[in-house]
Amino acid sequence: MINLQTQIIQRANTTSQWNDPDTPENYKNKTKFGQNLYSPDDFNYKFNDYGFRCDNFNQESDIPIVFLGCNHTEGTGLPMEHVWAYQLIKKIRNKTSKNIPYWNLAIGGASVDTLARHLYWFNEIHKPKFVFALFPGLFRREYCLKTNNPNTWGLIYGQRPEINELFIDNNFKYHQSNRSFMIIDSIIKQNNTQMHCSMWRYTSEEDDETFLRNNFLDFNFFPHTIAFRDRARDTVHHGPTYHIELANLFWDRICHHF
Amino acid sequence: MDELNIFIKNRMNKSFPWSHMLGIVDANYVDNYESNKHNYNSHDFGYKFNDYGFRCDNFNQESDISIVFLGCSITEGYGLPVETVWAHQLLSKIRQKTNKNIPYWNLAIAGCGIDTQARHLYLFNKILKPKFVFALFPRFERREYCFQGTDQKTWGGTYNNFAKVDHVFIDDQFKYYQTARSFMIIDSILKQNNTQMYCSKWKFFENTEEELFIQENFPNFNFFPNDNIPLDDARDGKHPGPLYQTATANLFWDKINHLF
Repeated sequence: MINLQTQIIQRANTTSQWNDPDTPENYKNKTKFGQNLYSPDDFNYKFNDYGFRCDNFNQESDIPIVFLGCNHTEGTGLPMEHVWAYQLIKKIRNKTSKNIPYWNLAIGGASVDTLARHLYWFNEIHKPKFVFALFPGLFRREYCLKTNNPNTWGLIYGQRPEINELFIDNNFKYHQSNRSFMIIDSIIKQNNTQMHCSMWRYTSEEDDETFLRNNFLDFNFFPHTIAFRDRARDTVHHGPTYHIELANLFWDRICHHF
Repeated sequence: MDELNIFIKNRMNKSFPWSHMLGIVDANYVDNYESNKHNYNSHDFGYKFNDYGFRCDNFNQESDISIVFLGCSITEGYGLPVETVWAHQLLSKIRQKTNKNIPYWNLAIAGCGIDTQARHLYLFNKILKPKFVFALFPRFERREYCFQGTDQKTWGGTYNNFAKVDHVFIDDQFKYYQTARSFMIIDSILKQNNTQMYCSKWKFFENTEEELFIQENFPNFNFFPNDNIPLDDARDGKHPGPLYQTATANLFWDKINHLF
C-alpha cells in the first residue's frame, strides 16, 4: 500500500538547527550579496505534530487559511517570521483581529503533486476558506516506483535513468500537473474556498503559468518576478527581501477579502 | 492538452454498427462475431453516441435525480444493446421505483482506466452535478498519459503497450500511487456535491489487494466486491454478456435501492 498521508512524519514534533539545503556547509558559501544575513544560531526549524513548519492542526481557527508551496514557502534558510506566508497571515490577523493559526503545508522540494496530496489529506481537518499558494515549476513530479514512499523527481535533483525520458517530456508534465490541479480545484470547490496563487519564476516557467491561468480560473493566478536582492542562510534560496515583496503582492490581491 | 481525446472526438453524434469501427482493435468486430457463440444477431443493435461521444443520453437534458455511471467497456456495453448494460438496467429500476425523469448519463469509455474516468467526472461535473455515482472500475494498471504528443493515450497492461513507458507503468507502486491520485479527484468531487457513490470492480482476475486499497483508503466510495457473477459472452466474444450484466445490475440494486 502507498504511504499516502505524508512522508515527513519522522520529523513531527522535532526542532532542528538546520534543514537541508540549509546546512553548515552551504552556510559557509560566499555569494555576490556579501556576508550571510543570518548566523547559525539565529533561528531553527520547529515542526508540528505532522512534520510541517507551522502551528498544530488541532487548533481552532476563526478563518481557516492554508498555505501551499515548496522550500520558499516552508522558508528554507529563513526564520519562520520572515517567510512570505507568515508575513501574509500577520497582515490578515492585524486587519481582522481574528484567531488564525498558521497552517502551512509547504515542504522543501515539493511538487504540485505533493501539494495536491497534502491539501487532500488535511482538508478534512482544515476545511480552508482561503488557500494561498506559491507553486514550484510544473516539471517537479511526485511518484512511487518500487517503493510505497513517494519520491520527488526534479530537473536538477532526484533524477533516475529509468524514468527521466518520460518525466522530462512536456506533455507528460502537463498531463500529470493537470491531475494535481484537478484535485486542488475539486477541493476548493468543496468548501467554497477562495484561492490565490503565483509561481516562482527562474527560467522557463512562462508556459506553466499560461497552462495554469488558462485551465484553472478559480485559482486566481498572478505572475510575479522578483529579482534576487539577498540570499537566505542556505545561500541557495531567496532572502528576506523577496519574501516581504511577495507578501505585499499577495496582500494587494487579497486584502479586500478581509 | 485537449479536454477530450481524439478517440472520443471522432465519434461525437455518430452511430456505428460494430465497435471495431470506433478504433478498439479486437473487440466486437465481424470476425469475432462469426467465430464465437453469441446471443445476438449481427444487426440486432449498434452504437449511438451523444454530443460528447458517450454512449448515452445528451447532457443538456434536465434530470430530477442526477446520476452518473463510470466504467470501461463493460459499462459502456461493448458487444451489447445499450438496454442490457448493467448501468442501463440499474437506471431502469431507479426510474421505475421513483417515477422520476432521469436521463442515462454514462461516462464509461471502452479500454479506459480509472485516470480517464476521474478526468471525465471532473470535466462533466460542472454540467451533470451528480447526486449519485455508480462505478464498475477496471483493473488499476490501466493508465492515461500524454507522452510526445498532447492527446491522452491509454496504457492497458495487456494492450496499447509502449516500450518507453512499459517499465514504469508496470510497477505496482507506480500503479497504486497514480490510482490514488485519480481517486482523490473522484473523492473530492463527491464531497463537492454531497454525492453518494457505490462502486465495484470487475473480477476476471483475482486481485483482492486492489479491492482492499479502495476499501481502506476511500470509504466514501462504498465499494463492494463483484463476486459470484455468471460469465457469458457478448456479441464480440470478448466481453461479458447479458447474464453478467443483469447479475451486476441486481448486485448494485441490492446495495442502493434503499436510497430511492
